[in-house]
Amino acid sequence: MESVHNPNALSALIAAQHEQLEKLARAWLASGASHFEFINEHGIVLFAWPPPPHDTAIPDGFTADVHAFGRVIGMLHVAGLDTDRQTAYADRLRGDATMLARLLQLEGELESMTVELIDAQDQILALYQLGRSVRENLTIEETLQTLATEAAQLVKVDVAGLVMSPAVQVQHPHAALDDALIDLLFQRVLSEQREILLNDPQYLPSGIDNALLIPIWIRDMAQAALALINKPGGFTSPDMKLARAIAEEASAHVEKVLLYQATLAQARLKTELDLAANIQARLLPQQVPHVPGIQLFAVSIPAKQVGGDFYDFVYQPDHLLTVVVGDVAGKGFSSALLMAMTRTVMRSRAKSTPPPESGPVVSLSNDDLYEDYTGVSVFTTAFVGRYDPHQRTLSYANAGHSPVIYVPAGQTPRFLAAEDMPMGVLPGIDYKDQMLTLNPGDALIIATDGLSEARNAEGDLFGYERLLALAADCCQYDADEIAHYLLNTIQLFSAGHEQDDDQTMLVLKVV
Amino acid sequence: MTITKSLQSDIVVLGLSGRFDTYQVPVVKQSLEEAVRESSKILVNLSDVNFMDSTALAMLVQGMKRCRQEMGGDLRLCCLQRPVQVIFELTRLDKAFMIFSTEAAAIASFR
Repeated sequence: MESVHNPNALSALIAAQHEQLEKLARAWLASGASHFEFINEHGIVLFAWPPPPHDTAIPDGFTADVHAFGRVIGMLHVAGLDTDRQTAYADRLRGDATMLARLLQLEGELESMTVELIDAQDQILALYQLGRSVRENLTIEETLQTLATEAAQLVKVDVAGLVMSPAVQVQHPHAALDDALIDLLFQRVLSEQREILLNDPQYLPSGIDNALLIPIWIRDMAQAALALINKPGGFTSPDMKLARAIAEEASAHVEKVLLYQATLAQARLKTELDLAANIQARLLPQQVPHVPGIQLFAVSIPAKQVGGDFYDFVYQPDHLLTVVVGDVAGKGFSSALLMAMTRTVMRSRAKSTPPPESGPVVSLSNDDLYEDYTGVSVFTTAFVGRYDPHQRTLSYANAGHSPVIYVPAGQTPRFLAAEDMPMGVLPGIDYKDQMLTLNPGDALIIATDGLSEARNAEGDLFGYERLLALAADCCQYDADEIAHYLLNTIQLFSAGHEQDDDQTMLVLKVV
Repeated sequence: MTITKSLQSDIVVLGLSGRFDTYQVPVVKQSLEEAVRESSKILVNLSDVNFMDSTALAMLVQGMKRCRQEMGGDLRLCCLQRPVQVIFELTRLDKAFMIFSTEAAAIASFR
C-alpha cells in the first residue's frame, strides 16, 4: 500500500470515487445541508459539493474521520444543518465515512495488485526474452555473456557477472570485482551452496556498495554463480526473487550448452570410429581369389573400438598365392591407418619378392615400416604364407603372430608358433622361412588373438587349448564352414561380454 | 595398477602390479618417461603383473628402443609370471628383450 501515502495517489483514489461521493453529497443536501466535503490529513479539500467556487465561506458543521490503510487519511465534513438533530447526523456521517474508507481500501488494493501484475508481466516478458536470446548461444562464454547483460538490465544493477570457475567468468558492462575477490566469493557460494548478500560497504572494496551472489545449480550441484553488484538503494525482496529466477534460467541454459557440447564430442568420436571401421572394411579384399585345388575363406569382425586386424591375398599369374594375416597393436583410428599402410607395404613386397620364400617378404616389410612404427610406438604381428598349387608346398614366416593352427587331415591339429618377433620391434631382422607340404584334406587356420582372447561373462579367456580342440572337431568341413563353426562357438562362449578386439580368421583348405 | 620406483646405482627399477593393459598404459607411460629422463638403464619388474595386452607390449618396446639409443642403455625385464612369460614367447618378444628370472640377475647384467 505504498502508493496511498503519496498525496497524489490519495487524490487519484478520491477522484475515482467521485460518483459515490456525489451520491452521498446529494443525499446530505436533500436533508438540508449546504456543503459536503472530503478533506485530507493535511487539510486540503479533495472533494467539495456543490462544486467550487463558493460565494460564501463554508460554515463549520459535523466531521467524521476516514480510517483506511491503517491510519486516518482524512475526514468528511458536512455544514449548514440544524443543530437539534446533531446526534443522528453524526451517526449517519460516521456510516458514510466507514463506507468511503472501505471503498478507498478496495480501490487501493486493486491498484496495487494491478501494479504488481504489470511488474510480474514485465518480468515474465523479460525472462522470456532472456530465454530467447540465450538459446542462440552454443558456447559457455557466449551464454554467460548474454546472461550477464540481461541480468544487469533486468535487476537494474550497475554490474552483473556470471562465474563458472576462476577462469570462466564474465562481468557486464565492466569488471567491478577483481579476479581474486570474485574467486573468493565464488568459492564461498560453492562451499555454502547458498546465496550471499553483502550490503555493508565497510567490508567491500571501494566503489562497491552492495553485492548479491546466487548459486546456479548445474546437474544438482552449485557449480556456477550469478553476481549482482551495486543496486541503487539496496536489494529488495522482489530483486532477490527476480535474481533467483534469472539464476534458474541460467542453470537451464548452461546445462543445455554442456549437453550440446557433450553430444558434439560424442558425435565427433563416433565419426572417427565409423571412419576407422570404414577404412578397415574397405581395405580388406572384397573378393577371394579362385585358386585351383584349394578352398579359401576369410572374415574379419571389427570390435566396437576398431583395432588393426587385416588379411590379404596376392594371387600372381605364376599361380603363387600369398596370404597375409596381421594385427597392428593398439586400437582406434591410428591403428586403422597403420593397418592400411602395413597392408599396402606387405602387398607390394609380396608381389616383388621372388617365390617361394616368405621370410624375405616380412624382412623387407619390417625394414620399410620400422621407422614409421617407431615414431608412433606400435608393432605388428603378421603371418605370411606362400602356397604353390603345383607342388602343394607352403612356405611361411611368422612374425610374433598367433594363433595359427595347422590341421593335417585325420591327425591332431598343432600350432605354427612364431619363430621371430613382430615387425617394428628391431630393425634389420632376418625373418626365418619355414616349409610345409600340404596334402588333400589338410587345413590351415590363421586367426588373430581377438578369437583366442575372447572373454565370457565371467571374464574367462576362450584360450588356446579350447581353440585347438575345436579345430580338431571341424577339420572335415569346408573352409567357410570351419570359419563359421569356430566363430559361432566363440561368440556363444563370449555371449554377455562385449567384443574387446577385432576377430579375424583366414582358412585355407586343400581339396 | 600401482607403480613403484627405486634407484639401484644408475639403474631405475620400476615395479608394476595388476593388469597391464590399454587402460593402464597412460599412467605407466608417464612413469616410464620420467624414468628415461633419469637414466637410460631401466629394469621393469613384472612380478605382480598377471596380464598384458598388445598396447602394453608396444609401450615396453618403445621404452626399450629409446633406452638403446644411448650407449649402454637398455630396458630389461625380470620376474615374469607364467601367463606373461607365455605372451612373450608367443609373440617372440622374448627375443627382443633381455629377460631375467630375478631382479638381482637383471641388475647384475647392467654391470
